[in-house]
Amino acid sequence: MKVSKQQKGNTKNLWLRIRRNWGLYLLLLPAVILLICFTYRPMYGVLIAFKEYRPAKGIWGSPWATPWYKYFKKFFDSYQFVNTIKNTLSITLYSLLVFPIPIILALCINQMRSGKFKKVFQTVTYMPHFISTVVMVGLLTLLLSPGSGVFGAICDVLGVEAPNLMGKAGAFKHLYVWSDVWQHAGWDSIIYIAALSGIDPSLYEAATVDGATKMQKIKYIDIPMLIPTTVTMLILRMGGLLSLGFEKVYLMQNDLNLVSSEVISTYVYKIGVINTQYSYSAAINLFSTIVNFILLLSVNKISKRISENGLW
Amino acid sequence: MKKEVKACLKRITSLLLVFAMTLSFAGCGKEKQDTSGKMPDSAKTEKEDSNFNATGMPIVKELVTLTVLTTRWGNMGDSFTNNEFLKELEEKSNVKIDWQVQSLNDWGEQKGIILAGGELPDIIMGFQTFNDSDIMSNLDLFLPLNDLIESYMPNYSKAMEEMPDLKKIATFPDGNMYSMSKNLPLRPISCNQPIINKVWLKNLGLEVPTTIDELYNVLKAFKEQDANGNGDPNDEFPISGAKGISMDFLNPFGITDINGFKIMVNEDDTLTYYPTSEAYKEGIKWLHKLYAEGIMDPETFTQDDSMLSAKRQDPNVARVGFEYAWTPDSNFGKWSSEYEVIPPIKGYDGKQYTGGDPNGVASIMRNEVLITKFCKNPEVAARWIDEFYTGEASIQNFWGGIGTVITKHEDGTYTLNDPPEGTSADAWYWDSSLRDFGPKYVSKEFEEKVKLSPASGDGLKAELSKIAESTVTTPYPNVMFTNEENEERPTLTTDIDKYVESTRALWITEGGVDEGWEEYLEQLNAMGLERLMEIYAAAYERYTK
Amino acid sequence: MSENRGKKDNRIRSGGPDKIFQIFLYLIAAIVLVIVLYPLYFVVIASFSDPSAVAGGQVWLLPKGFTLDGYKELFRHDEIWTGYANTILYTVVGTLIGLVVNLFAAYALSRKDLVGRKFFNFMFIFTMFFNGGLIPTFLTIKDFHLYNTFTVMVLPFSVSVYNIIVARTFFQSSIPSDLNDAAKIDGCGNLGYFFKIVLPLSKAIISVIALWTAVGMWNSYFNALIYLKDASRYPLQLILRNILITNNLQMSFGSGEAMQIALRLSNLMRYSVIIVSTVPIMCFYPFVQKYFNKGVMIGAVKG
Repeated sequence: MKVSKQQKGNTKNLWLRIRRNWGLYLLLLPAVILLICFTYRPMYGVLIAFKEYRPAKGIWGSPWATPWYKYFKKFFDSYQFVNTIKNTLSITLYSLLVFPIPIILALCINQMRSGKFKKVFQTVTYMPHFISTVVMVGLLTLLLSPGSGVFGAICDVLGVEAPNLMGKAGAFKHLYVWSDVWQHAGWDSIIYIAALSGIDPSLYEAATVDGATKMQKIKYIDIPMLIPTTVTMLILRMGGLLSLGFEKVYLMQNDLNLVSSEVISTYVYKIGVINTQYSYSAAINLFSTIVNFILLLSVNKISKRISENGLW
Repeated sequence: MKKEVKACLKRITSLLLVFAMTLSFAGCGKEKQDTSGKMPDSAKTEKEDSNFNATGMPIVKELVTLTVLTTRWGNMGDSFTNNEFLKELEEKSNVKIDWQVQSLNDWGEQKGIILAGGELPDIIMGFQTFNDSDIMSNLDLFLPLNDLIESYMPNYSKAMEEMPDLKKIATFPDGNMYSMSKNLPLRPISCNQPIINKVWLKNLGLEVPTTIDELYNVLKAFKEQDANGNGDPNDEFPISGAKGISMDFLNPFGITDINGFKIMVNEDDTLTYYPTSEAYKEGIKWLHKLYAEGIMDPETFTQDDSMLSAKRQDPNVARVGFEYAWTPDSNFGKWSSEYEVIPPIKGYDGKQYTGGDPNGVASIMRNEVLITKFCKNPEVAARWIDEFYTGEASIQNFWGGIGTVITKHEDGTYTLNDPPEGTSADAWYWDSSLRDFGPKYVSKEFEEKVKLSPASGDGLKAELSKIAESTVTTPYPNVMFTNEENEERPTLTTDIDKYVESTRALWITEGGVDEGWEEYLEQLNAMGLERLMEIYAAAYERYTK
Repeated sequence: MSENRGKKDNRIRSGGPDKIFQIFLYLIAAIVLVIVLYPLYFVVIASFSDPSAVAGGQVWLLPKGFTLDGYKELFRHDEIWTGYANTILYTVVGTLIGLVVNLFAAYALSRKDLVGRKFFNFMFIFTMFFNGGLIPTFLTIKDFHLYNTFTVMVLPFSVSVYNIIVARTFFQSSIPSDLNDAAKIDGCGNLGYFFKIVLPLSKAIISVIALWTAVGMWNSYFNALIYLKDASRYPLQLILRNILITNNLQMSFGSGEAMQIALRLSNLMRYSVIIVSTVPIMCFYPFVQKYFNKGVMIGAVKG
């Protein structure tokens, strides 16, 4: 706002300000150069989605798809179009619901008095993040096994017949999202802990003097401190709504839950197994990306209107 | 002083930006150049001509190096390059090989890069390296081989005469051969066979089952009684599976499918998509009965390979009763001796069926070796490859070199030596040779000279296969699809196959195949099953012409 | 010491509800700790157990069929040590470069008076969504002659827009603008302000970005897979990945035996691989953790 007013004014003024802040541009330079060289230069690859791409011919040598939207239409017409998008969204939106958990975790850690316990707790909670997806899904399957797992044993004790949760389509998204929380909440909370560490302790002291309870301190000191970071992370999340990683879903899939577990990335993978379909998968990915981007733009606009925080 | 530094920095800053941008975009047109490729002169120079010998050894007078790209499973590495045959060939022929060995782990991504990179090695080996559609979509990268074969490859030409299928399956839709095939020695004709735990049968006083109903009774007894004799009647899994149940269990119903197309060839040469057949419906009903009564492991559809393997090879006692497998030791580890292969189970029609291939299972494959356009000495490559197409070369490239793995006897026969301590026979063969990959040809006469011990490994399987040989059905052959067909197929099969598999899982676990059958057929047609069958029929017709 | 005194004061003033809060907190924390700790514990004991027992669900609290085979088999592969060396090198250099590239840019973007701010923000964020794909990027790397070099592992992909955005948010909200005004009065230019004042105050965000970058580099294998040819340059994760067989195999018929053994070895090493590849990076964390302490900002703003 300040900037635009001045832009309306003297252009000489503009150059002056640019020259004055030359240091900032210098700071920007490395990232910009790297982006131009290694991300913008190959950007023409986006065209693969509009062509009949053959690696041997290269992108320029490959003929255009006839019509240019051929592969997009193929995806829209495909039997799996609605289902994969529905499944992808149901998982990503569900993940948004559990988004506050790392924040709550960070708030709790922040409240711990015992330095030792706090350190141990924080160190342990982030560690599962490093376990590979393959092992995690394997562990999950073992635990939930009605025959040999902990889950089965608990059901026995309760006298209930253990359902095979991995085989229930309805359970898929719950299992996926909550196992993600289990594994990554600790790691995800790190950024919020770091944000909370910037709070001036004198604020707490002042609050105590005023007779504030713990909950009030959290509400009026901690949470406002976290809002900029939270909003940023949330907006970024919204920009990933149609991109659900392939590996974990693929490992958790089986014939019984397939109707809920076929997502865009696994579908693209399966098509590619028989015979690599560069153009088709490029079109599907481009479609998801465009949708994500539009979502991001919209959410960002809304966020700026509500809270003045935005991505740009 | 400071001001000058500042000014200098500013200038450098803007210069750098401009530099970066021109540099990066200057290269934009380059890609086109790269992919038009460095192709050799078609006219041979005098020098090359004089270096090359059209017959006899060495192949070239002065050393020539050829680059060969091949792929191998996971972590198998490049130890096979120490194979005696390969080393001898290098000395004899004066052709040095620069091997580029890639793991098949992430080959999908790397494949695209190699194809787009603008330059390929001289020779490509191994049918897993480039498949039909890779080759056909990028046909300009590979040399048509017909002339080379005729002029410089007497061994392979003879092989094609003796075994016409080698040529047939490698003939691409435009009539040329772009790759060469192989056949493997002493392949069994039967693929997976019924294997049952005979100790369990003995413990319960049961006879080997020969019909579906007898099988059912045996499996039920396995389930209800303490078949493995450890005092617990509930820890047995008569049958099990990982992420699904093998369709081999439907063999008695007449359903066999070793190539995975889900297509069966009828006697009158028409094709049936078996998931829509009555036999399949009956089979599913039977499997549902097994599941509902607890005979089938309740976790069949959700557990993974390692969990199934843990049940098969439980450290305390054998826990799986009946399965279709290659040989007992391929699945059951230390319990293998408790299992035996039984004759195929008779169906309700009184007949027996086994999945397999009268030509030998997975014996004949194409795309085993290709010569790329980037090879400057295609004649040299052709002659070098031809050396692989003798019987003796082929067995050394399937098991290992003569001297370490194979012993050649005075009477002209060959036997396999025992593997060294700590490694299995199969792993040893993979270490010592190209094994399944690469050019090979073994004629019927030569095969007779190879004596395999029937006690283990490939020899054992050859023996076991005999019980079921007469019942083997003809599989849908390894046809070649056109580029257009290859574009349509993946979407059709992904949708259709997945639907078939998920309804199958549902019907087996919950039943309802009769009620849902009509809708199922309609749905399949809506997904394009008719079009898929058209494609399969067209390809089959081209193949059998 | 002074903290203790503060504690006492608080207790006198607040009493009941806070005490309950604390007890509640520790109780829940203990439960969470056990639940979250379990997968780690499982991986450790599984790495010492018989793989059949593990996959059979017999390993829950103690190792079963105690064996060191998983580790023995893994360390048979000498390449692991070059892998470690390479990964450490890539991680250290890559993290330094990543910090320079991303933090510098983040700070510049955090300044409201940067002309063209919206343009640059958009330019960065655009790349989070749209990129040319694997093959064009590969060709670009080749054109710059970076294929199979050390540089390709640490430089071309060091820009992380995600990190830039998070760091930028930090700079915007944690560094009060009065500081900038104060510095200007003192005659400090932008660069000087950044290096002498902002950075020292931003230890928390530097630690987080360093941690994220280091972990990202440590775990990465894909870039090495595509852009490196010599096995001697391979990072640890790629070597480990090659040792294990990935699950999506289409096995050729009849070579079942070798495949079964290879799968068994894979299962055997699956857990020891995790321990071997993540213990070092987990040791890195405590070093950065100390920068998350409260009160990093004290004394920055006087009056």
